[in-house]
This record gives sequence, structure tokens and C-alpha cells, in this order.
Amino acid sequence: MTIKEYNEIVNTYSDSLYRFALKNIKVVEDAQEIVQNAFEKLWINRNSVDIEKCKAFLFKVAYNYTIDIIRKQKKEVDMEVVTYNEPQADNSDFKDLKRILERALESISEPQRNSIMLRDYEGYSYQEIGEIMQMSESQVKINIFRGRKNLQQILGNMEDYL
Amino acid sequence: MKEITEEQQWLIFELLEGNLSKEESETTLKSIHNNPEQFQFYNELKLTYLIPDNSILFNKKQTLKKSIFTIQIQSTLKYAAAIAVFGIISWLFYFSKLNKINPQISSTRRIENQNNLKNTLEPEPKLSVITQNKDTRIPTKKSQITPNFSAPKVALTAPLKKLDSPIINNAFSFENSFLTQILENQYLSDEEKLSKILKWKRLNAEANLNKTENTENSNLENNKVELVFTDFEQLEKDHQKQLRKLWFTEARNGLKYGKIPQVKLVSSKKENNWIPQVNLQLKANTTYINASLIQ
Repeated sequence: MTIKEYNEIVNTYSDSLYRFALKNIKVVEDAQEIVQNAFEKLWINRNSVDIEKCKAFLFKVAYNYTIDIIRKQKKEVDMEVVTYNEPQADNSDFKDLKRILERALESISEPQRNSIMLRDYEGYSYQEIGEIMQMSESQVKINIFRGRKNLQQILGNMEDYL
Repeated sequence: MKEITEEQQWLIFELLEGNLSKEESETTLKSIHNNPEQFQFYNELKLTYLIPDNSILFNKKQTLKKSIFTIQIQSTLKYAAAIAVFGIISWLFYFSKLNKINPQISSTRRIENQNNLKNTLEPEPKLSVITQNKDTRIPTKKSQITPNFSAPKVALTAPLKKLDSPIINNAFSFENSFLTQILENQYLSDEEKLSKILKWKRLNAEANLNKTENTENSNLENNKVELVFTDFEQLEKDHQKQLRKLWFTEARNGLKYGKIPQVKLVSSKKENNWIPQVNLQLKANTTYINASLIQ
């Protein structure tokens, strides 16, 4: 991988990678750190990583970092967390289905959320998602199905949710 | 709402995911339109599909990018670091070596000062080959030796005036100078210094012997070279005296640092005596003295 190719990959995938990290952990600094770490790892392994598979490599690294951070956050409950500066929705904002869906997404389990995000945001196949998340294709499919069902139930019971 | 079976739910999910064939899709859509529960589930599930939020951008792209300049700096830094490490190791190695050499130099200089060798230094006499008109080629066969033949001879280019004591002093100072140079040499071990001194002594003795022959046999018609027969016995005595003095100084200095002179038994056999002679050799730093034990 040449410097030019690497820089093109930064241009192409850094936004989607950052989006993926930010949607998962909601902390801007952590999301930026995840992106930087992922690209640094790509640069170190530039001779062994195939250019066609570099996107999967980046998301795999980012996913692993995300999981680590989420686990830390779960342990350090008392720690003060600077949250992603998303406009806090009042009841009127919830009319926006997109925002409702994003809030609902936080309620489902991590494997289901990540599977759906990789599927919808990045258009990955079940097999590719399985490679990133280190699980089988059928497991990915089940996660997506159950995740969507959960989201559908949340959206169906919107009044209760609010 | 009436519950629909999980199988139907899966079929709707597969339809939305785009995993069904055209025929399967048509059949499923027909079923969905004919069943209000399935239709509601289909519509609700369709809402769960996320739309990418392209408004979120990573604005620190430049920090991730690499340039040829940064790569060069990185590689240069690697080389610089390697050179620095090599330099430090070299310096440490040199410093440790210097620490070993310095005490040797200082001890040698101390011995020199004690013996006042530097005060006795005088210009060195030069050696030259006497060219003669005779055939000086070395014969390879006995039959080639002619009555006119004489081997090339080496002699001291002494001053034309015949002076006894200055010549002795010159030879003596030359010897002192030679000894000083050998002792000051940092690149020679003690054994090498000793062997060189002994070799020089042997050569000096041979030269003196040749000199004696020259004095007896040389043709002094041209009167250009005049050789002086020095008192070799006296020279040897002085030399031995000097060596003994040096030995005592070295032994005393060695004892200061807890270094005892080495004791060695050396046997030698004379031609006319079948009983070997055993000598006790006491070696200080560079010099040694022999003491006869049994004969």
C-alpha cells in the first residue's frame, strides 16, 4: 500500500468509521481516538493488508476498540462521561422518526445494534459482518432479525417508550 | 393485533432484506396484502431500516494522512537513533578501555621519572651499511665463495674522532631511549615489550660483535668510517644495573597495589656441563631477575 493509496482510504472511510464509532459510544473524543487507532493499525500493517479488504480491517479494529470502551464504561459507572453533543430531543423532536430510531437503537443489545448498523449504514453482507464481529453468518442474520423485531416493538409501543 | 407466526415474520424479514427470489417475493407480497397483521408487521419492520447520517463527518482527516516528508523524517529518525546508540556504545567502550590504559601509562611514567631516564636522553646514533668495492653478493654454493668475498657489514657511523667515553654514553643513551620507547608503547603487552627488549639486546650484542670484526678487518684507506670498540662488558653491567633498579622500582610499585612478583623456575644447560642449571626467575611488571639455585 502506497502513501497515496493510504491517504485515499483515509478520505473514503474515515467518515463512515467515525460515524460507526460515534453511534456506538456517543463520546466524541473516544470516537476520534478509535478512528485514529484504527488507521494507525492499518498503516502499521499496510504491507500485509489487502487494499480491497482494508475497509473490513478498519471496521474490525474499530469494532474491537468500541467493545473495549463499552466494557470499560459499564465498569466505570461513576465516571463522568462527556456525551456526544447531539441535540437533546424534547417530545416534539421524537416526531422525527430518524431520531426515534436512533434512541431505540441504544436500547437493543450491542451485537444486534452493531449488526444492524453495519448492515444498514455500510451495506455489508452477513458474511462480512461475521468477519468483523467474529461470528457466523447465521448468527449475524439472527442478530439482525431479532434486533429489527426489538426495534419494531419499541416503535410500536412508542407511547410507552416516551 | 393478532400475532403472526415466526415463520411468516422470517419470510417478511427475508423479503425486506432482499434475500428472496423474484417468485418468492411476489408470493410473499400477495400474502402480506391479503393479511392485515402481516401487512402491519411488514410496515413496522420496514421502519427499522436505518438511513446513513451523512452530516456526521470526521474533521481530523489531515492528522491521519501521511506524507513523504513525514515518512522521511521517521526513517531519518530511525537512522539517527541507530547512530546515536552506536556512538554511545563506542564511547562507553573507548572510555572503559581508556580507564584500563591510563593507570598503565601513569605507572610507566612514574617509573621513568624515578629512573631519571628522560634526563639522560641524547641524540640517537644512526646505523648505516658500509658499501665496499668487494663482491658482496651472498653465494648460494660453497664453490662460489671466492677469496675476495666478504659479507655485508653493519656498523655505527661514529664520529671521525676517536672518543671513548662519549661513544659509550651515546650507545647507552640510545639503549635508554629504545627502552623508554618500548615501555611507553601503549599497544604492546608486557610480554611483547619484554621479548622486544630481549631481541634488541641480542641484536645489539651481534652488532657489537660485527663491529669488533670490522675494526679488525676493515680497510680504513678512505678514512670515512671509523668504528669504535666499546666496552661491552661495562655496558652490559650498566644495563644489568639499570634493569635491577627498574625491577626493584616495578616490584615496589606492584607491591603497593598488592601485586607480588611472579616466581618461575627456569632450567638451562651449558655445553660443557651435563648437569642442568636451575635458575629462580623473579618477574616484576616488565623486568625480571635471575637467581641461581642449584648447579
